[in-house]
Amino acid sequence: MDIPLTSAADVFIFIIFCSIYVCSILWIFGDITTRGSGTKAMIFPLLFVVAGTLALIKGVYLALIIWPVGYVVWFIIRPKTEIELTD
Amino acid sequence: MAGFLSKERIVAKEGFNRWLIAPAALGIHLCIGSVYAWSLFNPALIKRLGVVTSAADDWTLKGVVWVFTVAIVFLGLAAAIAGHWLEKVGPRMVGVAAACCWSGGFFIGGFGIVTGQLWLLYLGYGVLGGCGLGLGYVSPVGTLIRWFPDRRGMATGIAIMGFGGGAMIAKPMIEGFLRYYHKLPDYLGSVDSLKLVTDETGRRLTEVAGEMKEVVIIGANDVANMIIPGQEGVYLVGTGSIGVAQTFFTIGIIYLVVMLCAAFGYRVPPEGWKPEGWEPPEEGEHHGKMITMHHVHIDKALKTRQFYQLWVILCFNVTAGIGVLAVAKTMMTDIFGRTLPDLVDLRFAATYVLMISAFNMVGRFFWASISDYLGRKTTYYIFFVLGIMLYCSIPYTAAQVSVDPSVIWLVYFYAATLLIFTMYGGGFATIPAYLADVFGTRFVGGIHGRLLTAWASAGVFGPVAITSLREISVKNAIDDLVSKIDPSAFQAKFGAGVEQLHILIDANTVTIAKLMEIVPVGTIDPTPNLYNTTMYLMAVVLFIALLANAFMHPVDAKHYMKA
Repeated sequence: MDIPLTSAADVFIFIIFCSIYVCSILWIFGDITTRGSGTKAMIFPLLFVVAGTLALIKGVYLALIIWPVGYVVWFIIRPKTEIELTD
Repeated sequence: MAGFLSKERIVAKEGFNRWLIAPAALGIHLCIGSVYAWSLFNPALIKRLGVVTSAADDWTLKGVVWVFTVAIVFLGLAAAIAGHWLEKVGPRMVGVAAACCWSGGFFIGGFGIVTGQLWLLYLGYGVLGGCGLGLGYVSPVGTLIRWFPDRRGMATGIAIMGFGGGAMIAKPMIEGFLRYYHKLPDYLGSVDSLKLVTDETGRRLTEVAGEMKEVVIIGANDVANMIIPGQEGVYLVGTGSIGVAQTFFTIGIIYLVVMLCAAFGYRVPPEGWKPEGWEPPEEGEHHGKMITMHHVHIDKALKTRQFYQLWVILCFNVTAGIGVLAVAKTMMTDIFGRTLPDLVDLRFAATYVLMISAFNMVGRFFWASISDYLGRKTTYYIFFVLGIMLYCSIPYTAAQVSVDPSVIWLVYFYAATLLIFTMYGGGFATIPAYLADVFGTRFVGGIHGRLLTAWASAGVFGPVAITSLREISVKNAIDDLVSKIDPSAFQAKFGAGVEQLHILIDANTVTIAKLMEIVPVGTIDPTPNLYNTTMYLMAVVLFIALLANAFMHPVDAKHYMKA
């Protein structure tokens, strides 16, 4: 893991940014399942996980561009209504 | 077989004693809690070939230390993914899967050690074992809450206490097996009695039966660290055994048996069951405890802000806990060992480490149980308000003891850190009940599984934060000390000029302790202050968690499942 954190502020921003990133993956996962979008839509959270891992482990920060792009695409193509969830 | 494990087959008969679920849950958590004893394997794994000391081709500490983090990350991922499955198939099936994964992780990891394939250790213990951890962790939670709707905090506290105590039980067991399976390599003689050569790769070789073979040499310091006492001299590489693989296979079998027995002890209550004499209170009848009688679907929960508030609460509480957990023992020995050397020796530090585990475990049961009376929100208020005060006070204690070496500061530090550890454990144990209060009990096991991604994230944040902050503090302290030192004295001490400072730091040639030998008289040793930034940052992190808790309100009625 090669993350250049040179001050306490950097460390704080890193923690906050990573928290938002992980929560955003959980949110899109929840949105996909509550809209009944099926397994194909799972590509979005999966891509975010891969991009985050690449950034964290290999320092490929450019991979994170997937994140905003993925969200824009998802908001365009997602079903407009939620399904009724049962047991 | 699947039918035998299914949820329908484990519905309890009338008159079933609900307290029998607690030992089953505790059994699973005690087994998987041994993951916290991972550090016991590190010193042995880096001597896989050399056995008495590291050989040239042995794994490095940097290489093996991340196995634990991988396991924790996969704990979170497995718990998150398996949450839905848990609600569908029930706890016995998940418990059996957890037993297979956790013990299977030991078997594959052990095979990796035997064959020298580090990736197999990561795949086995880290990935498969981590999945077993996640499945095992969430398997009893929902069931316990349904069996104990009147004491949901206490019930989950019992199980999760097991996770905290697992390492305490595993430690003597692992140490015993490591000693039992340890085999010293062939002793060739003293250094003087053999003709040793060093090849171009830096390996030490000597002639054995007409062939040049790699050897390791140990001195007096290495002898003191040997598991089985040996003598100083030359040992043949590849002829002994560190015993870790055999220990992995043995405890893998033990955990498989115990976890399977525990999983078969799981029972789920019949639909509509409630404890005798207990009536579920009406909505809003909880004296401000915010307990819902509705249920939120596991997928829908991810769309509520309450889920993310609880995610922040758990993640930041764990991050802060790891922050102090990682430095507490070092602080104790670095700061108090130097200022109060008659009191704080190696035995004192060892007792302190044991107390950390004990208080972490006891805190899980204590805080989760007391939350049934105080309410979950109030309990977390206590964690965060008290936590912020304690974290902020630790740097002051460290500074004071440097000026005035009084026992009172040691007592304060000891008490403050142990209280922090009870709240660290308490945060883990109380969160399932908090989830049940907010989202209802129907999907609480699965939702809890998804919330454990917070723990996995904290497993990355904590170590990254600690190591980075320590490096920053050390670098700043060294820069400050160097600015006070005469450059010629620096050159004389280290054989290089100040302009090469960073190269000398990287090579561990320049350290704070060495600089303190040449600083002007009256310069204060910065060592006690190295942890200040860590403590203040953790206090800030806790403050954010405090805000997340403060804004916790019941879930909007539109998210409730229709009856």
